[in-house]
Amino acid sequence: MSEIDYLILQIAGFVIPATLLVIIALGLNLQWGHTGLFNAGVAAFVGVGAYTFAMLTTGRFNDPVSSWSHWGPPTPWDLIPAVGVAMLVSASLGVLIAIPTLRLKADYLAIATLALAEIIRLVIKNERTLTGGDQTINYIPRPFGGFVPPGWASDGVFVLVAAAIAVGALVAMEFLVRLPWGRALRAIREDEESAMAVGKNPFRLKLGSIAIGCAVMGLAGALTASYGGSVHPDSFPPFLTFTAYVVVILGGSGNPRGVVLGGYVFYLFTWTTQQLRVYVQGISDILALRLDFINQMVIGLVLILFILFRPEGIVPEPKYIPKRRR
Amino acid sequence: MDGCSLQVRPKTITGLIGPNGAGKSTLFNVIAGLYAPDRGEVWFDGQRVDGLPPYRIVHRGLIKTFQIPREFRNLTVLENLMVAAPPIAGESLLDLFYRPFAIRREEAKVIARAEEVLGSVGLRLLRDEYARNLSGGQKKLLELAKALMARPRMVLLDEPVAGINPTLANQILVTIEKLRDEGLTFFLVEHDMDVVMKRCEWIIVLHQGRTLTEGVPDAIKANPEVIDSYLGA
Repeated sequence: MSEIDYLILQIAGFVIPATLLVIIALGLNLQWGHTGLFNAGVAAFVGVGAYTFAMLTTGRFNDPVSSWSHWGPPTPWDLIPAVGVAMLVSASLGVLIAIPTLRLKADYLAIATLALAEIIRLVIKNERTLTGGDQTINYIPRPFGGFVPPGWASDGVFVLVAAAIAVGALVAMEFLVRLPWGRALRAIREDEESAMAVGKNPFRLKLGSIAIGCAVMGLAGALTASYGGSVHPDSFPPFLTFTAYVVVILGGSGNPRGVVLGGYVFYLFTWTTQQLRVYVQGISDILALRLDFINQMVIGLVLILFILFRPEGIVPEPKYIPKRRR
Repeated sequence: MDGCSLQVRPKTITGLIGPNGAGKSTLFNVIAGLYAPDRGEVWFDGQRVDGLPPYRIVHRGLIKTFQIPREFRNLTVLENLMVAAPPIAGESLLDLFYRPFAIRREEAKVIARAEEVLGSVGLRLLRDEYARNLSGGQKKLLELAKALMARPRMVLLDEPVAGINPTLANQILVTIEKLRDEGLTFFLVEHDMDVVMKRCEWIIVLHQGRTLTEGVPDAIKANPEVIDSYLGA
């Protein structure tokens, strides 16, 4: 392997996971940053997107030896429609959980989504005929998998695909939040009753925010499945939800561009910790073992400091100034 | 509230007075749909509106301001007004498919109208200020402006001039009278008797959740029951 190949692999190893995290956070930012909805089941919506994509693109799997299978289509789907369905399934799940809880006080959405995440994980794990259960779904294809050999070339292509999708998601979010729709969402975040008293239907607006946010999370899930090549019920732990919130709060709730920056800054820190371990290993094995925990402690500390001293994040929500009348 | 029955005639300024705890704000919240009545009916412009969600009542042309202003803190003053405008293209995402070209056009119209309303309450200079940075009096004005922005036919004002300096209060009341002459109906709660007696054509007295009496200002002033329960000797 040449040095260039190695370099591409190294860059991809940072850029791809960071970009996937950014896309998840963009979806969450619409719900939390713009609408004030506390979705505690981010991991579930990402996981459902990943599983939907995995099942559709690997076809129906039947292993006569272990006799487990999953309900994929007889022949694997093309990737783009599979991504679309993954987004749709995540969005539908979000809407389904939102309908009974959105009319109640905000806390109930948090409780319901938190429970949902656990339910989804257990369902995926136990419904073996549906999802393959505890068995990993393998051989999930990557974009242009037929043309590009695995390894550095495939990673390089994936970097481009992921970046294009992230840019698309960012542009879409910036567009949506500047619509009168986005303004109404912010009004609901500020004071739901007051918004209702000037003629806004909070339920409908919040439902839209949930649907689109969850669809974006489902998109990130599909990409995660494709990148990793395999999915497992435990691939989407509750910690992912926490991470997404850290990214949104760090970057700046209510500012999609801030969230993108927050995602890369956050992942840079985690990535650096991983790299550091290699160097530390030779010096102190105990320290190397504990590096992950130190990493999490520092993240917690930084989060607390941010909430105390800079709750608006690195890049605060912009002031929206409508154009002056000529 | 119990045994409370009243009517507000169109194109008037009607006052609602009564001691603290008489149920004035509660009545307003029931009319505006924020509280659901256990029994009884609310009619507006020939249609029953009780049981409708508040935003539907607003769309019918009946809007209420809050006694303590409930501005959208982290939105600018202009945005506060734009949110209060009647539904425009782009507020529903389906408009992106049905009428994408109307969004920019209607947005421009709403900006123009919001600036006009801002001017009419004297907040033009604060157009791009965050609403949270306004003073108490300015927030009261913003509250009124938001209500007007919705193009209502009837406005319920919960203490519109409480805590506002006399000059500004007078300005607000003149604005209200002017709008009444243009065909708007006002129903207001106010504790300043000078204001109520001078500006209202009709006064309703509420006491312990029921209507005590109603009449023209002079009759109310002379009513012994009202003097007893509210005005004092």
